[in-house]
Amino acid sequence: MRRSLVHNLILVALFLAFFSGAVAIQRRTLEGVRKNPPFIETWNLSGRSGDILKILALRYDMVTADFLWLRAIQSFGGRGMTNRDWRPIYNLFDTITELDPYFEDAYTFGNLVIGDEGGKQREGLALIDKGMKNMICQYRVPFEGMYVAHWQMSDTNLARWYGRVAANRLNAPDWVPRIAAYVEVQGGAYYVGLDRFIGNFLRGIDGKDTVMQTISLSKIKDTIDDWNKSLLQRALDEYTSSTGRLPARIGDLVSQPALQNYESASISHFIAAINRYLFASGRDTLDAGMLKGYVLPAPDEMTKPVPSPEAVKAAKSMTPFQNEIFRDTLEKRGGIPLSPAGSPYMLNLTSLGNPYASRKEAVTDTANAAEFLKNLLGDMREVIRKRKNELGRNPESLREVFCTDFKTTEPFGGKFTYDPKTGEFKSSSHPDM
Amino acid sequence: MHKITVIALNTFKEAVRNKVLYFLLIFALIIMGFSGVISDLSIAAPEKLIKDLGLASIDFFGFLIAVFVGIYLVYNEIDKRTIYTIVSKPIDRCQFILGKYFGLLFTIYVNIAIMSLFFFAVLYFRESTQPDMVNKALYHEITPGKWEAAGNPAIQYYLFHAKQFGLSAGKAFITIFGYTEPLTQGLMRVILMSALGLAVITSFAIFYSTFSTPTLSAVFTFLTFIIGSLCEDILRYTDKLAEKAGGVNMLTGADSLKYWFAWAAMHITPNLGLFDKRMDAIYGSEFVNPLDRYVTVDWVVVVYGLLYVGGVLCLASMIFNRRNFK
Amino acid sequence: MIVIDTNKLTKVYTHDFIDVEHGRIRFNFFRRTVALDHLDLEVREGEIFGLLGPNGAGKSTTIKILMGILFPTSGSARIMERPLGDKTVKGQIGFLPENPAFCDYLKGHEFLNYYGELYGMTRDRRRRRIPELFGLVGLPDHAPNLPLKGYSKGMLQRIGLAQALLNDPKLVVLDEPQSGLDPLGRKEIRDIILALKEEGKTVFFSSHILSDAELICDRVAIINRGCLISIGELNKLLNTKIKDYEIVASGLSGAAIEALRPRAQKCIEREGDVLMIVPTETEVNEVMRIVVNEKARLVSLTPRRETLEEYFIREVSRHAPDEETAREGAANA
Repeated sequence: MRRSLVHNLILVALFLAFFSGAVAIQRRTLEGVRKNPPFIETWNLSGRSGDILKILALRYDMVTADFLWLRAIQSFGGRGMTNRDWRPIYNLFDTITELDPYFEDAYTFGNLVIGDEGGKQREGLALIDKGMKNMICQYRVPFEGMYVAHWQMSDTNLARWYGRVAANRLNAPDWVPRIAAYVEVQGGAYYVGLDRFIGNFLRGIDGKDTVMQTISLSKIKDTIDDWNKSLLQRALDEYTSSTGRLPARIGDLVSQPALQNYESASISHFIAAINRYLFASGRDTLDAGMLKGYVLPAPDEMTKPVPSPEAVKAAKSMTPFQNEIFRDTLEKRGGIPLSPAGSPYMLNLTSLGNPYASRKEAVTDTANAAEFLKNLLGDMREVIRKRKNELGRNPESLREVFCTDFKTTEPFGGKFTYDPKTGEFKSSSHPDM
Repeated sequence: MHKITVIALNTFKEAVRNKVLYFLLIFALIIMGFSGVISDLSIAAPEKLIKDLGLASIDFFGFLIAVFVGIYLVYNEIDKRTIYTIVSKPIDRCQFILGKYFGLLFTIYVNIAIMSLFFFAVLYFRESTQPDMVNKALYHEITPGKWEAAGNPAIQYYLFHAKQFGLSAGKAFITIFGYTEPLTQGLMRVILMSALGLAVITSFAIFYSTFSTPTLSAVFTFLTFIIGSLCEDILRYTDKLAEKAGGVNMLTGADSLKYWFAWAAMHITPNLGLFDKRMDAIYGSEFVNPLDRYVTVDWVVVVYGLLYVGGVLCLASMIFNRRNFK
Repeated sequence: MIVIDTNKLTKVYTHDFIDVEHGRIRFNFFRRTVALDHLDLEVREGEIFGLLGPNGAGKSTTIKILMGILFPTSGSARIMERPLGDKTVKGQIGFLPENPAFCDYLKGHEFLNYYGELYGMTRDRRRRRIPELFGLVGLPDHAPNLPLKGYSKGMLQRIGLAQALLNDPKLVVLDEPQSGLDPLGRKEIRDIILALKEEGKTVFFSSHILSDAELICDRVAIINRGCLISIGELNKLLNTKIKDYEIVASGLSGAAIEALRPRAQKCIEREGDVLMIVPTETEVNEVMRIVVNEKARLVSLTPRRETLEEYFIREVSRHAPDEETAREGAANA
């Protein structure tokens, strides 16, 4: 009895000695890891790893993919891929998606790591392309591609392609076509963008979804606005290249070739067309509240008969008439286009010719220009007020504030005036602002 | 029929005494339980991870049970000479084989049911104890932006979890009998299909054990499982071989041998990939590329499985009928 | 009715190619053993038939073939005038194998219930029959609820007998029913077998313990090395005439003993008693006369006949040489 007790005690002591030694060594090595986090690609997967692992995994390839995925997450979690070669990382995600071709997050996260973090957008998009081929019903992967192409690579044409793919996918929510259409408009494809938004609007009517109608209508307005501005932009370019100077007024551009007999869209035509079709189908016309802020058509245009009233009455939805409505929305005209919001276009003389302003800012409309002027005045007055606080009095001139002669033209062509006595800063065209 | 049931029930009684069964079952349950923890390591698709791991465990451990329990059932009866008194009773030997088969299958199905129950419970429990759900249960909004705890939060926290645990277990139980929530949509179909696949593999385990030792049976069953799992890859391999040579008729020598060997292997072993519906359930069958699902109709697979089981059991009975027990 | 009828029943075992024997690997290419060689047997209804022979004579092989556990290499057998494997016949046979082993995880009554179901007995019949059997085979009271794992060898033999009698069979086949039992157990088994005969059942059993067989068998068959040596009614097989006499007397003087010695084949003196083996009746009279004259006491006088054991040894040793040649002939053929 006593002997066995001693025996056991010796065994316990030995166990503790051995085990604690091992644990101590393990702890030391772990400490070392913490101090110097090494990143070594211990699993240097090659391009063929996917095929081989798929066979080795028998039918449990999805679980295998999950484990590789966990590993990928762990290794990129805090450290990103700074200073790393993109190829092993690409292979890792390639293997995961080879094992589990429907692993959406692996495509998008892989693209994020390689493109966003590593700056290898093209290589990241290769993963996206693979995902698009494998997952033919899901919108998210091409949508991610669109995002990367448009916002990171500024490759609008590539983004438009991804956008179109995403918008046509089976499980795409209704906002995906809208964003895709937005990218189309950004890329200058106004016809395509307009068509998409009209489609959205009609679906909003069919679904009695007023939120969707409101959003789509404002998107249509923005598209027409962008379209008109792009025409004016081209006319502006033509004017400057032929005369060698900047125009003083928007009217100067009328005679330019870009503004002769061009095609554009009209929001009033669109609203009229929609109302005509709604009226013909026996439904309520558009709510007046929704149409606030848009150029409205003449009342008789709204009630003009549609080409085939019986077909419209018989149809349960509006989408079949998208082509007709689209065609009615377009108009051929010459001269300065009309803004869909009703305020006429003008040249923003502050931005025009200013090397720091973007080219797009040169053409604007009066409402926007007034907003612009108001903001500019506010900013200036704030700077002057701060200077006044520093000096303890009103600055004597604007030179004392800006350390340079203040020669900026205000958007409407007037001048900024400063009264050293009262400290008031005003615009000559809108003195009441 | 009655005698088959009697033998099957007795086989079940025998099988549940096998300790290996419990080791496998406990291991599977541990893996499923840990899948909840592992999924937290993933920044995306945690539910996919749990489902992947859970469904794969049910399938794989079902297979291991079929192998490690199944290979001994017939062998033990012969080895311990208990078969002497059974064979002398007014039963056919094929009734004995069928009884052993169904008894083993019943054992496996009971285990699958336990594993599924646990799996569904993990899924439901995880869903119902998401942080926002817990917060909603522990605190209530008095005025917009102002929250108040209902009772002692620490006690309430445990009470809530205990309640959810019970609820999840209950839900998991009725899920096995057909109740579904969006979370468990289509999972039962996967498990049933897995069960059918296991019926095929089990028939092979019984078949091998009618004429060989347990070790050899295990090896044979594993090989069948591997070849059956790789059926489609073998097909691609043979196609590649033929393509390289420029047609099946152009194959010569070793390549020809390889081709026909692989061809035979993939035709006589069951294509277990057909019973694997995990991808459908996890991604939604409507999103899976139709090219990936060459057999979309379930009943074709069911008929296929039953035909296979029938064939293999016939073969097993044939061998067993002619066997001498020393 | 002929209950068991075998016709030139032959069984040849083919060995595994490779065998590990005494730690050495042995190759057995085409090595065969003849376990049973053209055996012809007939067992009649209502009799107790003993299949006797030394170890390895082919008794178990015969029984296994009859029970469908082995298939004969050639020849045929019929039970109750139906070919082997007939299910209605199997339903009327009870079988106890040698050193029986059963599903040891079952309790006694569960086990009998399981086998009862295999016989296709109704629930009512099983419920009536099973407790009855526990009493019949003499198992202790706790046996029904004890797992078979906990049974002693004797208990296993008894429950094995119980399962053989479960369905009230017409033919009971017992393979070495008394092996591994104590003398009391052997007597009980003997009693059961006799009781079965009284019920009109046929009992076919094998044994190498001849004294047990001698007491109960109506007919016996003796086989050795797979061949039938003799078959027939026990008292016809054995020599019925008295072989010699055994006389035990006490109180004889030394001279008298000396006088007796030449008359007896054997004369053994022990503690005053004298045991003498005397060959003929006239010699017996002589001896008796001396004993009476000496006023000694006659303890016993027993006429001795041939025992089964002696017959067996005689027959087996007589057949042994030509058996050898016959076996070789069969193997060569």
